[in-house]
Amino acid sequence: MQNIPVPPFRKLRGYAIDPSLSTALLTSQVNELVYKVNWEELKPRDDGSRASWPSGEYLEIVDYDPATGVFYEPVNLDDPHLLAQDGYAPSVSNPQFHQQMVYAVVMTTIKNFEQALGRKILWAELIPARKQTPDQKFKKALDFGFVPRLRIYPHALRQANAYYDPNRKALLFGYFSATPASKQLQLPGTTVFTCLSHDIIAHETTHAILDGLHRRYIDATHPDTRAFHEAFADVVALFQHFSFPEVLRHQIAQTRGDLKRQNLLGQLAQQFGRAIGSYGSLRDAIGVTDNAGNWRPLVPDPRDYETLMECHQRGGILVAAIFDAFLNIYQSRVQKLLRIATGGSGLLPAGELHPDLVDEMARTAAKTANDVLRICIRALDYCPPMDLTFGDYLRAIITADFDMVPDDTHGYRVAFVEAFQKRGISATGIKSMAVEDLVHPLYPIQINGNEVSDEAERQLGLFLRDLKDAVGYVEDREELYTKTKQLIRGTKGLHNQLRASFVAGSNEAAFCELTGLMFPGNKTTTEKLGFEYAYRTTESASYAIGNVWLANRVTPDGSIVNHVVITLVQKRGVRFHVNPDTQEVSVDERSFFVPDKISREKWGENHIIFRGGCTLVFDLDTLRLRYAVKKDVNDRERMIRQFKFERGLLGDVSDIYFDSKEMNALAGPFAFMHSHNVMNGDNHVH
Amino acid sequence: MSTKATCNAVKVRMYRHGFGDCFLLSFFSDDDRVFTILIDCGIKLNTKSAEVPIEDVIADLRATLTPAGGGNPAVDVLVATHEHWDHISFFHPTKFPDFFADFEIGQVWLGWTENPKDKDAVTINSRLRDGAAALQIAATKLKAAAPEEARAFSGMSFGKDVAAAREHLNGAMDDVLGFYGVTSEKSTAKSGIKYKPNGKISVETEVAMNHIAKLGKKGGIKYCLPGETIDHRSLPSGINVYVLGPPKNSLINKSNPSSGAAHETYLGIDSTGLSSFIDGVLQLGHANNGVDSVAHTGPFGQDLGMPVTEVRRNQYLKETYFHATEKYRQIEHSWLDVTSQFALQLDGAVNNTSLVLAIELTDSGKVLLFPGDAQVGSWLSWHDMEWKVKKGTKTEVRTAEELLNNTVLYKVSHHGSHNATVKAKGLEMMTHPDLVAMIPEKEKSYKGILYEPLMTRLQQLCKGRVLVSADSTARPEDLLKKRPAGISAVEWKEFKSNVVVGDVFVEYTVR
Repeated sequence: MQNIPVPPFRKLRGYAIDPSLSTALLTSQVNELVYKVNWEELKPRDDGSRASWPSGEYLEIVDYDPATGVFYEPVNLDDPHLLAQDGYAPSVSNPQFHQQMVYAVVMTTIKNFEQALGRKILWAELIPARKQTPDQKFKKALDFGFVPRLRIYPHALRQANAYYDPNRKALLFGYFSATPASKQLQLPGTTVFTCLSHDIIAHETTHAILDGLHRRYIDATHPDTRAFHEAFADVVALFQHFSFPEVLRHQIAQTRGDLKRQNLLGQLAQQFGRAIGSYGSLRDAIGVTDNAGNWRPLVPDPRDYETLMECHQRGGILVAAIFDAFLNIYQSRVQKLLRIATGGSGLLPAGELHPDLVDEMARTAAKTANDVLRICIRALDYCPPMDLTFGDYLRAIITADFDMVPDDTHGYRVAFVEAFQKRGISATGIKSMAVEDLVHPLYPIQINGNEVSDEAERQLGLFLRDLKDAVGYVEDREELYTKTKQLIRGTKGLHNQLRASFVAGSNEAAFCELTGLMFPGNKTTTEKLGFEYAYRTTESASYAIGNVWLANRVTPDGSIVNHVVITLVQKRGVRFHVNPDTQEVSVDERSFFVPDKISREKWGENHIIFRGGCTLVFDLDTLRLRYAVKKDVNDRERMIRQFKFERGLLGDVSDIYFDSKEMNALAGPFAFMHSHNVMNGDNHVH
Repeated sequence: MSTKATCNAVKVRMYRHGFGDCFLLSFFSDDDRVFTILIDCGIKLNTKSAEVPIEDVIADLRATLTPAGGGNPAVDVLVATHEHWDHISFFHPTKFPDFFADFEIGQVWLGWTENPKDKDAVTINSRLRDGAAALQIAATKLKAAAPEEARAFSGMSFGKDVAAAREHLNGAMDDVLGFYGVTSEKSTAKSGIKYKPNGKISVETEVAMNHIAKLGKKGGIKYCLPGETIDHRSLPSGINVYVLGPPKNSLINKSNPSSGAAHETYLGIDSTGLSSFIDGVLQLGHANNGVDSVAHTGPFGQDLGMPVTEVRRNQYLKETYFHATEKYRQIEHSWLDVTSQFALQLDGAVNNTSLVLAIELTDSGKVLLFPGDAQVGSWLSWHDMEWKVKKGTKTEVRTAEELLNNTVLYKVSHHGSHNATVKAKGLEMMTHPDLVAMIPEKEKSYKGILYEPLMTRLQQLCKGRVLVSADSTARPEDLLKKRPAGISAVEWKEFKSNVVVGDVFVEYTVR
């Protein structure tokens, strides 16, 4: 027995897309597949048997349906009979299969992220309520909590919805009766389970992972922020389609290799879309289906970015841009195959494609899709810690790819830039949309004639190298989390290192310019500008170290990228003057406030909580800072824009009776984002 | 009723008793009042005005409508636009038994959605009442659960935000329930939701509406269909009345400005995957009321769940769902959080059952538009219709655009909210230079009413001639003090001569 190695995978059967495709003759054969999930020991049952509960390193499934007050028996994936036949057979009427399906897809999604990022993912921390001492001077350091497992409820809601609840650190899936537009599309009254849709599970999981990476991205500070969350979740779900070989081959054969034609790969949530009365899938990256059931390709409009403000529609611009980039890369790569297959003409004869050609095209599509997905995920390490715009993301994509593949032989970067440009997305502050201008400039940059001293930079680099040695090989996620926190905090921790190297020394001005932070001096000046003054840690304006990430990645040419990513964030309260006649908005320069120092009632009518800071990317091999991606904490234009956006002055209409902000407070922003649109028939899963 | 002399003026009396509609229209042929229409009489639930008690309104109606020679007060037509408390509460037979008991009512006009013989109407109404009941059950449940939720979240950074939001949303849910004459009290006796023996549900507004139908027994009830022109035999000469809504087509569920593709289903609350939600909540309600006619089943049928006795003993659930430090992750009421959104849909769906009337003075072509609380779907549907009207021996055709172009008096739909007056196909078509708007509304009644951008545009189009009933921040008394910018002295003088601002009502005469 001892000699048998632990299996690399746990094989679990499931739907590739969702149950609806199993009832169509054309797709039924490819819709059921076996997910190969990295093997892990699940939580053992304490009855001495070899049975387990559906709880692993990353997630725990609790199958409770509060509407009917029923708990469903937790699945035992270690039942020998299930182990021997790759789990339960796909079935709509078996709740244990539902649990299996969710487990398989969530784990698959996590694996894709970890492979791309080169590190383990952590869920968003649990943040306790602030405890303030009466004198307000010394606040107890907040004891953030590690959340080991995402909670998953496969049957939590009785509605056509599913969402990630950032308060509960949980995914809630709903079920509902189908009300299709016609009986041909789907039988009315059948129960639709969102937890059986690969796309919906992958989408919600991505929200949770993204929240764990960038906590501030759920703040609606810009029309792009929520839209990005939605778009990114769609992108991950879409590109995962290409990792299903049978579906992929089937669709390549169907479209004769032309993925710009209507195909399942570019569509999301087939069954859900039809069940709520649409004529096609819920979302489609490349086309639209009209009420007569006719599909036509989407034509990009450079005005879209200016005009579409609802977060799903706006997110759709980003999804379409990324998918378009992918399709163009794929097409240029597949041309070679076509020429080989056609004796050089590239023109395919009528009839079915040769199965070998289909195989090769599918391989190319899978490879390209995997590349694009990885680029999209890695770009997150090059994004600013808050207030992300699509333009910022484009720069992050280009820079991330530049780090991995210095020589853009396949034209990936050009494809991205072109696809974004076609939709009117540009990067603010950048003069041209040329690839080389979009790559973040390599540090050191001349800043007002100053430079952060080499020695300070080297010291910090050495510290980070130690940090890597300390946590780089930790397997246990909780230990990783705790150790990293310790390395940030202690007297010799990163916080103090940064202070010693930069803030306290003569480098301050350069450091501020570099990071977008501010250190205005003594307590009075600091607080007057709305920053909290931290005696203990820095004796200057306080700032938070949000993330410290190791990024260890093998590039396609075999070299190893060895980076540390750090985010720094400052917060201030900003008030505004609003001219009652002209509605003109300006920053009230005299009444910045420290948000945690005064009660909410005193924040005033026209205020925002404004954040600035940066993402720093260090290269551990050269001990040099490589990039600094900042959002200036003193940027007036950004303050005004955020204020206008939050007040709905950018053309957003709030509902009568109910405040969407309040609805968002209940279970996070993903639960009710469709409140404005339910009547339009534009329904959304979050 | 005199039908010989031609009508050439209409006095529109808007009562000032609070947040609610009550309009008396008197049609004049020179100095003779030849015809009267009463449109709605209601108020926001559990409110009353100290300045204008409803008794004063009823007294004024009585005095105005009592024939010169004495006898019972009489009105030619009673219109009830839709089944919301702020439109029909004072017709409730037991809460206000004396108000209209002795009125002689010629005809009652109702939307086709009130017709018990119309199959579509029956389906819609029973679904809407189910919705109201579901709303009430869910709201009650959420209210009761609030302390428990606050405890579970008390140590968390988001605890205070959730508690504050919950309190506000629960209040707002009561507001919407109030439109049915219903509150989220625990006792069903008080709540206004009644379970009939046949399992059907009845709410207070239905009781009031049924009583209105009863009042119409004598003179007859007319259930109006969109696209029709009211028979001239029941009107004085010089008047055409066009029925614009409620729509009898797929647009009835569109209650927010549409940007996407139109959605071809009938009722908004069914199309968004919420019908399972309603059923689920109703099951709860039935269980609470000891009605077990509907089995309390989940999506897999019975017998698939764990036995209740096992749940609490289960090792896994003890360490996860029921664990003391994991309480904040429980989802006991998460599925009900959608209730506020559902409430909005339901409210919009009922508002779109509003009877919408355009009244035309044939001589001048001027139009008075009374849309009830119609929301966007209704407005858009008007443009899919044409109305035939006899002029002498010829038959003419009217379009919605023409009617809007000729509108000189607009009773602002839904008290001036953002989603009940459409822009391009509504307000912007009201281009008549004499346009006047009347808004029955009281300040601080609901979030989002009045909607500022709508008010601003109305002010522009009406050149300041916007009359508000009971809002202390926009009193007609103050309006008349000073000529607004943008209106000529002649127009202003003309307008002032046609306005009477009384304590109990504001009256505007269209000539």
